[in-house]
Amino acid sequence: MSLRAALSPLAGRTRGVRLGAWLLLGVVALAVLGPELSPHDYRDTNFDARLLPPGLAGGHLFGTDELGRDLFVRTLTGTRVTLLVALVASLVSLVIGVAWGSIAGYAGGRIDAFMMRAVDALYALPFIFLVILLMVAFERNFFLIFVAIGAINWLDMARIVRGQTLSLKQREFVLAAELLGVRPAAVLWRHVMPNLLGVVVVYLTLTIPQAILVESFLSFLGLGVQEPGTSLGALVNSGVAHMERAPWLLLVPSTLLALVLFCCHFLGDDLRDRLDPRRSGS
Amino acid sequence: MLLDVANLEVAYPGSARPAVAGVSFALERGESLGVVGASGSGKTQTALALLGLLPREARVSGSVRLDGAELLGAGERGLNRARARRIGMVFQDPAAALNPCLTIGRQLQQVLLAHGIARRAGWRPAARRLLERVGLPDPERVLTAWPHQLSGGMRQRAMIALALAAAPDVVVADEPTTALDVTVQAGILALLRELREEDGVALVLITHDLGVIAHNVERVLVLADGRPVEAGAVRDVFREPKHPHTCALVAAAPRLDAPAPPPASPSAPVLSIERLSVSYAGRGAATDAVRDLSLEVGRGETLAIVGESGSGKTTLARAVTGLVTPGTGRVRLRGEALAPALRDREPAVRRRIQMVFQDPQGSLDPALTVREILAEPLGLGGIARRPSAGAVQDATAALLARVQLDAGLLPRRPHELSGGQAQRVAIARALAAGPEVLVCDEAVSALDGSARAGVLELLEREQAATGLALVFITHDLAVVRRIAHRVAVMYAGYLCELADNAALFARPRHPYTRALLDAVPLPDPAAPPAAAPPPAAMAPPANGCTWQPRCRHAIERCTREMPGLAAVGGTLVACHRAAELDLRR
Amino acid sequence: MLRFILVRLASAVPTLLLVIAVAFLMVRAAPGGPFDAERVLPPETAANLAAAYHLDEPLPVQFARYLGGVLRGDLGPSYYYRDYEVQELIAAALPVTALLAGLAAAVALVVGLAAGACAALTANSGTDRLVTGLAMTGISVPVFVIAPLMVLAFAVHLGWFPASWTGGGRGERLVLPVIALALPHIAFLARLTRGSLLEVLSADFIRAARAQGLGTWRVLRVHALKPALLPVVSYLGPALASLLTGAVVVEAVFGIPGLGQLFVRSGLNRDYTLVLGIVIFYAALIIVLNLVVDLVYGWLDPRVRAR
Repeated sequence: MSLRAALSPLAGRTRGVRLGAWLLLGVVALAVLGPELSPHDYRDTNFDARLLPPGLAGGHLFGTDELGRDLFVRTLTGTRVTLLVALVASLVSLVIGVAWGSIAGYAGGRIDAFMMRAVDALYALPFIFLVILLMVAFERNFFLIFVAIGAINWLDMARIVRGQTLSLKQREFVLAAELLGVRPAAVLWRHVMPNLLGVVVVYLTLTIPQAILVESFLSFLGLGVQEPGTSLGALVNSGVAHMERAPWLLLVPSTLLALVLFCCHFLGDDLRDRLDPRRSGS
Repeated sequence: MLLDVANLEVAYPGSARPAVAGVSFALERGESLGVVGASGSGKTQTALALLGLLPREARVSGSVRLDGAELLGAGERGLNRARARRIGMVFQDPAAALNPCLTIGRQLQQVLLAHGIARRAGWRPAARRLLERVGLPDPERVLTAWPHQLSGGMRQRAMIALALAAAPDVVVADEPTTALDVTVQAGILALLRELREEDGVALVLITHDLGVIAHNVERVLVLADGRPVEAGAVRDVFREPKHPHTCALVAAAPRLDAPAPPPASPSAPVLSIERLSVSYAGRGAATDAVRDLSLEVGRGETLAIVGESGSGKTTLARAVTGLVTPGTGRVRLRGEALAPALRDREPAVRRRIQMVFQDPQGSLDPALTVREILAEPLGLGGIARRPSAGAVQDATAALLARVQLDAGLLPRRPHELSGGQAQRVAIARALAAGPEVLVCDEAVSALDGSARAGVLELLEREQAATGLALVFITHDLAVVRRIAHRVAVMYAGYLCELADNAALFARPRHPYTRALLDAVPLPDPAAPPAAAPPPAAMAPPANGCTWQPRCRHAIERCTREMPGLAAVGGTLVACHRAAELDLRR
Repeated sequence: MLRFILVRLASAVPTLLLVIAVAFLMVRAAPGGPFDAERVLPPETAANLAAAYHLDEPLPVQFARYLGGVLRGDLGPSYYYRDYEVQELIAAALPVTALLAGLAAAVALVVGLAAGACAALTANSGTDRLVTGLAMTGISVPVFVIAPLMVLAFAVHLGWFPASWTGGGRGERLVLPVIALALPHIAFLARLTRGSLLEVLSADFIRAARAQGLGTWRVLRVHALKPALLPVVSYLGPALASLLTGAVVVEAVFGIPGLGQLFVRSGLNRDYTLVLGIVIFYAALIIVLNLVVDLVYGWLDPRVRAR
């Protein structure tokens, strides 16, 4: 799938799709640029301006938190972190999952059985629990978050990729390549991988929101990004603590998180529909 | 008038031309009408319109009167009263038209209950009677079976039973036998004839196959691009087609009396198959096994391997190329034994046997361009390791020229090619490897008229130029007639007969060959209609000849002893009575 | 069918063993012993404690010992709650979580399937768009956002339901947590059902059923239901796992003394045997539930049974 196809939702046919795409782009742009443009820094505490409600007066658009930090900047900074983690973790799980699944599927036989049995066993592990365990035991290492999320997501990807590889293996163009004497590694690289792209992209549209959720969840539990750094999940967490006196501390990051996830799902749906092989072959 | 259709038109928003326009015909009880045309001519749309089964966006106009009552615009309630009770439908692909999650019995039960033909408690006897009526052996077993457990022919009979359950006056059959073997097809068509003659059911038979039309309907309507171009009695239309489209259809209909190619000059065998056996360790349905098969193909010779589903011909093809590992036996190339499994063969050895597959699009990688697809065989062995872009362009263009395609197709992707073009690219790719043997597995079955003829000519040309040995797997006897030097007939994994082309058609020696030839519907109303052999049981017999249960000439010995191959008058036959039987028509 | 069941059961056992092994190793590999949180102990006391808990034996022996215990239902003593065995603690906390998750699953299934079916049957109408939109929102808002928001709206401001577990009567206090837990799954199931039903309704065999004169209700009930449920059943496996995860959050927000809470606290307390015990319990539960899901799938789709 070309870059043009990937960017096409911006000029999408449906008004809803266009809205979703531009909204997401807007959020990303805001997250990248916003904190730079604001006079406040996300770490600046101001004990005279604690728990200010949102409003134009006083220069704090979204209000301040319990330490007087500007919520607008903190929310956007948090969005940066959340998005970054989700993206990187998804890529990690993609690489591992595709490699694992395609090798298992193509090799077949005992290698396949072993590799997929491993996946089954890991799948049964309530990973989120083990992740929590890891994070508690090994200190709250930011790097570990990536590892943890990648470690959870690659299993699904591996399964899907393996399934797809198994069916691709029987396709006649793969058989034809084998008959021509092309080496297994070359068949895998030249014929199997490019035809996995469709299913991988489809799955990626599901794993990115999932990764966002996992990161937010971990941060919510206090295991993710550490102070003064923040992410949307951590902001929601602190928002819960103050939700009766200062509901905006909960509502602002929640809304942003929901918005990001909503756009991801929406666009993901559209992309999935368009890549569906049952439509005019793309 | 039972069914009266006037000026039927079906159009879709966004499409310039209507799918169907100006179709009119009338049918009385017990009459039959054939609707014939090429694919895309609007036949299925017409059928669906009669039952009100078109998608929501279709705009239908005109009139469809069933016993005076107008069906178009009747609303779902009104249509349901007519469906099944007055007019029923049999669909093309029984595997798709039967619910895979329900047993046949359950699906029958629903129809019987919905139309009040049986009560909750007593539906079974009625269902069993229906299954018997459509010629299914062992109805009790079929009632409890799931669709995937039945063969294609049995599924279609079950489908017919469902259509007949509420005793309709008219049955619309949309390509009912296209997906079936020719002997099975003959049986289904005989059943439809019987239903007409005995139960007075009017039949609308839709097909693209003129052979089917010639003997199963009284009148025919020819469609092209959604419009009727000719109509009349079957004999008249075949004898003197008036519209150019009809003329083209009649002329292109495959015939078994086309001239056969002269026998190839004898030479040392290039490919030898020695006592090959392949079996699948499946539980229940063990498909396509090959048993103790030996064959040879010489240089510059075309050997056709004919059989129906379950004959083992595809498995044989895959075993020869190494895609399937045989249990016992050996394949030799110019005397040199080949490793049974493909992965154990050196690339240089692999390239000596190439294959062309049935689905032209499926055999080309959808992610690559034609140039990349053709560059692959060129990049290995022969040409230099890393050829320059210019060299690749020249070489691939030359390959395309060899299969009569323009170099302008190089940047295209498979889905942008027509079926015929895609198959030529596949052939070019195979030829680029410089093979000595080319195995064609139903290579032209998915192509229509002119594309098919073109590919066959191409293969013959290559053969004449390079001495290529062709192994041609097919179920289509007309194709065999056209291209083969020698013919091998397979049934249930065994080789029944091996003969020269002319000899096989003029005087078959094996009863199965005779049955196969008899079952082909000839596109000539004057010729005898296709005859169906008795239907096959679920599994071949444990002892004796596999064809014996369905053989008209079987004797006691046939039930005990499997016949071996013996030479009778220049042909190799596996039949105890080959020497004494005269199976000419 | 019986062979299908046995094969599945047989493959579940080695999986479970592998799970126990991996979890065991991970727990042992974590730095920090169970007693580090307390004051630094004199060496002899540490050695005695180690011997008492068998921590001085070689790893394979420890594992074998543990495995033996698991088979007998003995998951060892809790390091933190010294007077209790792990299995006792799990048994005490289980009913609440089971009730919560069970109700949430039931609610999600009923509401989700109904909503999805409605949307599919009125495809592209106002109702459909409404349901689809709500569903999309539902999966976009994580449990840990919904739960506090619900507390804020319904408990704090409107006062309809108690804000925490100790607040109200037995039925009342379940409402908000169950809904919060079920919401994302209702949304997902609605979308899934809608998509699956739409796809089934465009299949050839549905058209054939209509050609046989079957009425809409009959077509839906007998022909469309089973195939449409297939993807839904496939989803149930991962759904159950994520229900258990979500329970952790809901229990935290509402202060429910369930298994999720127990787990988080055991992690923070470095109570490794308890952690291990809960992990294994959950894993076994997921394996069993997946097995059941597999069986239901096999019942729905006979083609799977033949393999």
